[in-house]
Amino acid sequence: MKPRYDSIVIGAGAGGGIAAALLAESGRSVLLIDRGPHETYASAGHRDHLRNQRISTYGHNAGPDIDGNPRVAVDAQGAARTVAPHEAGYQNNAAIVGGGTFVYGGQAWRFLPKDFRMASSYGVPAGSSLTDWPFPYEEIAPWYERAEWEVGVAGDSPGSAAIWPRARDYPMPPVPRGPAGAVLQRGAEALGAPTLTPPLLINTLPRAGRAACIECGSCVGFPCPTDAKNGTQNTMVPRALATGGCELVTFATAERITTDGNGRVTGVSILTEADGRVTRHEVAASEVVVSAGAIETARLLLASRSPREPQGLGNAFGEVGRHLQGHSYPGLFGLFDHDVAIDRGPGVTIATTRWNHDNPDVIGGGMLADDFTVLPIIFWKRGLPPGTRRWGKTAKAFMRDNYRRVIQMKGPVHEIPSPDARVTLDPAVTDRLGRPVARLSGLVHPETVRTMRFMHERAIDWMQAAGATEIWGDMPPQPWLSAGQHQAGTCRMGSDPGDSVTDPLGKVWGHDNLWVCDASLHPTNGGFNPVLTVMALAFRNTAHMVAAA
Amino acid sequence: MTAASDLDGPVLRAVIDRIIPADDDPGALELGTDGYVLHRMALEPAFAAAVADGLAILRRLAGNEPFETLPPDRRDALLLGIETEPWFARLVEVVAEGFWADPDNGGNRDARSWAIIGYLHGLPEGPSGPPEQARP
Repeated sequence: MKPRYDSIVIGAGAGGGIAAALLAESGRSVLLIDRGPHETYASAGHRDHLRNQRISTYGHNAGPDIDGNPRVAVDAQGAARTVAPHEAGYQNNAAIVGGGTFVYGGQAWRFLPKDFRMASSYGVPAGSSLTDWPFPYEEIAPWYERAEWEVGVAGDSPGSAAIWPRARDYPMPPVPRGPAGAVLQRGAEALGAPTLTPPLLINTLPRAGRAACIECGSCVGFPCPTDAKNGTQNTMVPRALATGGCELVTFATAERITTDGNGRVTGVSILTEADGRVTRHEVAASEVVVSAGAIETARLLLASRSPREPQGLGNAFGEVGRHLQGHSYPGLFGLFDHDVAIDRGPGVTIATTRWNHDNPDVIGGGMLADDFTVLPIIFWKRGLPPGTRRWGKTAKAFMRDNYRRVIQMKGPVHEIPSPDARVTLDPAVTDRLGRPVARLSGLVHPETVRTMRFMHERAIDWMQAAGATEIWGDMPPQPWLSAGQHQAGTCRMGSDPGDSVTDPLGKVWGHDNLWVCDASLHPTNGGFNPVLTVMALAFRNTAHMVAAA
Repeated sequence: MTAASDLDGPVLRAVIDRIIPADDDPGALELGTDGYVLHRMALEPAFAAAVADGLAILRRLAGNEPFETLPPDRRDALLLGIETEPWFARLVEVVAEGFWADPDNGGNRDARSWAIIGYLHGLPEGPSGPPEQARP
């Protein structure tokens, strides 16, 4: 690490990887840091079905480590408890170069035009902070296209063009549909719901020097055996490094962003870890991009206090950390009287956007799709019908008879943000580096619960229309806080410094050289997996940074 | 016999045998799931202690006959009586983890459970992916 760079990018995930590439390609010297390691399939491809981003009974394969990374979760009754990354309430996202993109399923959805104007379309429910994005779909559409082409998406171009205004096809054809897709297609037709094969950040053809997907079915939660899954770790971060102007430092955590007496950002205090020793580096920079994920980005801004901003950078109006949201997922299982399993491919094969908007009596909605191939232990833990005795002949027979005859359906609901769902700094608990940890409190807005219930019923409709003989899966019994891998909203973009953290380009209000570049920016989080939107914003906002300089 | 010695003995195995029994296909004991359970208990002393207490109760409930030599249906009947006990629910969870998870966890020998249900992993190196390697 050098004493100064033109740019420091904090967090090498979906947003940071792209920001680093575009900044380095503009000729800047760039320091890209990540709190986690830089792994490959060979080093991290070991398939541990009990320790991954889908089922973390005993930890995660892509971090953070169980020890030394606590958070504090406040429950609906106001009781606070310290939680480890693999425990309920932590709202984990991967801590590794590539971030979640190293191990994701890679669903590459654009948000719909109406997703960008939720408040205009539906009004603002009491107690919510529902708002419009500060720009329309048409503004981000070309940047979606760049993400689709430069990171690499395989999709159903005609199916997509029937739903989204789009100028250009996907660069690769979609993944194959299996028996579940055929069954659900008939059901969707009976309901008059148009479908498409979900777009995925996966090479279905050899591309950019890497192989095509071998359809191993071991996709979501794990790194890819053939490197055919496109994360930033194998696309944009290598582009950044290829310039020769970007230095990637792993096991490096931003402690605080430093400012001068006028509030101008001067650099980052960085803690590196090696052989159990922690070293502090004060690194200067002309500009800083924070892309640590919606929880850690907010935490870092809140921890970067200065005499001018004693409540944290960009937090003059107490907005940093609020509106924490993710995706509440209605999910259910349908039993069919024949084999519906797909043996090849990522597993997710068919989706509908029929119920994302224009629904009676609810705000918004969400996309519904079949799921990635379900691991046997996940099927056992979450997929047995209620009332099934979980031991003895019955459970084993159910697994044997029905594992291949069950379709799981789920979909992300466009959440109605609440200002009370938020990240603050815990006053007492610190992590292994001595940094105050994120304290997560609040609940989803009641309108989110209502929309989720509506979508749950639509999923039942679809399963029934497809011929499921038995359907199960419940709504959560208690209100919950939503964040998780789709965490968003904590540094929202806006046109008014009084009710947002950044301007419409992601620049933190009151600072000429501090940017946020991750899903923290999302004023609302769409009824879709958000990663393509994170990527599109990163392309757009970084391109503006480069052009403005 | 002390309660603690049940943890590496026939009573525990006789319980695991009924949690995922053999039928036309192998059960938990044939796939080595008992080894996975012992491994978990070594890492979780509180779980081990609760199981030890539970097994002691099962031995008492079995009366004069050793629990482990009871016929399967009598063992099932005794387990039905305690199935809502937290130690048993957790033991069921751990047995299922070993049996249905990847073979490298130690309870699913040769990925046999996956063959039973028709889960095809498709990985080029085998069911657990590549051997674990040092970070680059």
